[in-house]
Amino acid sequence: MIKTTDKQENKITKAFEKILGKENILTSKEDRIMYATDSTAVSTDLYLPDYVLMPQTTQQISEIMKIAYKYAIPVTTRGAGTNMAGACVPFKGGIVICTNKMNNILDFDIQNQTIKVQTGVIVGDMQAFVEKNGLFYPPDPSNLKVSTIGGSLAMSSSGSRTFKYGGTKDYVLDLTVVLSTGEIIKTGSNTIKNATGYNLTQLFVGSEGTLGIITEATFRLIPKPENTNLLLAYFKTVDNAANAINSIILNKIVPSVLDIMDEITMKTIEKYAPAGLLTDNAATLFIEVDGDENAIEKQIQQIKSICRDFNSTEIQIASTEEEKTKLWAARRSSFGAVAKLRPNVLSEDMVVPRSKMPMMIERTYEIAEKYNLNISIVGHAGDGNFHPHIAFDLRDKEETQRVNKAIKELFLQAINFGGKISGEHGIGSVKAKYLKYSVDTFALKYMKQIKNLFDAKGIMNPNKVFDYEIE
Amino acid sequence: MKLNDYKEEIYKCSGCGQCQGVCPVYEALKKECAVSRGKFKLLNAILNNDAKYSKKVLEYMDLCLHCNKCSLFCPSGINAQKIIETAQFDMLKNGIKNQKKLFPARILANKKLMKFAKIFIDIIRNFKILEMINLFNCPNNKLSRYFLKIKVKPQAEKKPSAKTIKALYFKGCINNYVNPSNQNAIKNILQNTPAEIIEADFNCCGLPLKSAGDFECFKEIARENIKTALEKDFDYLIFDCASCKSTFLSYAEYIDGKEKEKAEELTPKIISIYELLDIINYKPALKCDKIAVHYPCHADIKEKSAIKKLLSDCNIVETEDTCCGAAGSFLFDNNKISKEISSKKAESIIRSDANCVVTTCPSCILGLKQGLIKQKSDIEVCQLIELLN
Repeated sequence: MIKTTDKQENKITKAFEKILGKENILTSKEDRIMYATDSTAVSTDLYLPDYVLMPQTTQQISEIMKIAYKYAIPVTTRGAGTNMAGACVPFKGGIVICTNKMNNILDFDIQNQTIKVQTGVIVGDMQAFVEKNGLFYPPDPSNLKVSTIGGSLAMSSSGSRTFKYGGTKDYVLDLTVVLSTGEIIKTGSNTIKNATGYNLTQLFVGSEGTLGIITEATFRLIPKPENTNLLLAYFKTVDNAANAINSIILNKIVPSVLDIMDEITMKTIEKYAPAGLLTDNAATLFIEVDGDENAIEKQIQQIKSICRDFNSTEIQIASTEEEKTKLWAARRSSFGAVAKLRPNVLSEDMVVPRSKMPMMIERTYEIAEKYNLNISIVGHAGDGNFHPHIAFDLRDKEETQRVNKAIKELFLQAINFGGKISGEHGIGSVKAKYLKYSVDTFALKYMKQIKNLFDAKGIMNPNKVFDYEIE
Repeated sequence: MKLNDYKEEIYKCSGCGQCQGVCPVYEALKKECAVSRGKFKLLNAILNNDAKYSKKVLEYMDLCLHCNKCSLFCPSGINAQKIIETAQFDMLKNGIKNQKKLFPARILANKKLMKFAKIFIDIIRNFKILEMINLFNCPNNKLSRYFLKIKVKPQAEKKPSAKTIKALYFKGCINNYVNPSNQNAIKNILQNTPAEIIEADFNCCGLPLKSAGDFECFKEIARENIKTALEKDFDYLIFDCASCKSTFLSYAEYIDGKEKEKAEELTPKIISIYELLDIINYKPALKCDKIAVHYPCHADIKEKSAIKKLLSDCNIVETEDTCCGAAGSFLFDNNKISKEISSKKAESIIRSDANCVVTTCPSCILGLKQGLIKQKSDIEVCQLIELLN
């Protein structure tokens, strides 16, 4: 809760009303409860914000921040509230700024192939918009139908197509950011190249709302691939699948997607949303190739023959658009399907060098067995990024303890293999206490100094990224 | 039935927020209270005694079109409709109610009162009072003209074909009190088919009560309607409204014991008029260019495929499969949001360059018209059954 007197509180409320109009301020307990959580199983406790504000412009956010700065009110920014790291939970109360109503496309420059948007725009909407005009914005987090550009930037998210095309950070050219003081800065330029001064743009990407609030962003776009096709290859062992992946890459084939799903995931998806997947194989590769018809055909044939070389038991190729859509829907429903198993799911997000993937998967199963947990694995195999989905019940204190121990072991293992504790979900609150294991000690010192530089009063998304005690 | 029975199901919401992508109310409002995730978080807090039932809670539960899109889509498989209705029922028991929604629902379900009201409606129809109102240039007259305009045509005496299928017809409130054009069309179409229409003195299907959480009255109506149906001898119970049909299909979930068995006995006979036309192999001489089809949210797969068959000779243009925004009393209770949803739907129809849009639900007609009027479009909206006629 904010430490202010009633009189001050009245004044603050009035000021917000003046900036936003009454209809864009939510203060009832009922409303505040709904903005106390995101999609992460953080805690059974409720951390209520004092205000939920829904601005529509950068200027309004600047005005809000001036007040927040003056009274040292904590501010948590939220897009669709769909992150996997507890990054939108307002642990210290204060203000939740919701960017959903900032959903305008500001400029679409087809000649220079750039787009400028407000950060409340939904990723999938922007993607569909540019694709209608023959261009392509590749980053595809699996919740892209609802998640916002702002969330994508703040959490430095990516997706399945990162293997070939890179993630959000690889497309952003310029940001408009409101700082804790209410100052508005522009970090980059509309141009494709820019070597002018420090690269502040990339500093804000992945800063999780702890340095400032990203309100507008400009992205570069690329031409849309002519066509795509999908191939599913099934393997009896993870090793065989891993060898096939390596061979595909060594043969200079670059699929747009190179994902892996394990047996439990396939079984769970098929049980709850049948899509004709085979379920008795240890590993399944989900491969998308793109390009013109000839390129696609050539890649499919090469991949097929490589998978056969490594004893693939079965290869399915999508033949129609419907089939492609169905298989993609199945792939994207992996988190949802696991959510049906137990009341809560945590989706972890380690990344290791690609060559360590099979060993990491093996260790994950051992850890699951050691702590008697239900863990299934989906991964972006091409990137060495993988998501163990842990299904459990947060209300069961003993089980939650086991989950926490398992997560710590998984993290340490990934670090041991030369990896990191997050590839695309970010640190948020749930991984904050492990950051020190995964970041160089001196680098961490400078990260904290950067945080202090931008946020002297410590009001920007408190208790995220760095390890703080929760009050 | 109480909310506590759904405690586990409510807790199961992982908060993934995917419902934001399918909820038409969220699309218009952009607030958590619209979407099922927000509602579940709130109800979960109530079940944990972190919050209490209040007018505000009810207001937020009422912010729902009952279109069922979120339930069909929910990765955790949570039945949002039932939970929202049960919360409303819990509140009603605690004296928290929305009279604006409950009062009309109870009136509609009061057969005696409605018979009385019908006399007035018929007077208005017969004396063309509506045209007189139009003289005063009522701003909403385009929409109001739809109401009360058409008279019930007397059924032809002769029976040209031999009747082998008995179809008990549930007319529903729109045919009874608003616009009987469907009823006329159905009778006309079935005249030359083996299907014979039987009528019975049904009450309202009860959906308005169910969606206001008034389970006690709803169950009474369910029992009454089941009894009315089973007194007749029939092969199918047919509906021209997808919402009424889906409500009848839900009866068995709400009542117990012997009556539940009766409801289950009725279930396999419940079909839409379009499924009946498919069963009797009705081949329409229907050829339309560029029509848009709006499937009501409550239309099930069987109904949709029957509709597709009937329209197989038409050139159907693609439109977004979104809600029309009417959803019964939602149109009146939350008119601003409703208009916005309708208008979005209309935009997609206009973009598709359709000559006309057909649907199979009387309430959707209102939603579609509302949107097209707002978008200043004169694309025609019609009932499929009238088009077939």
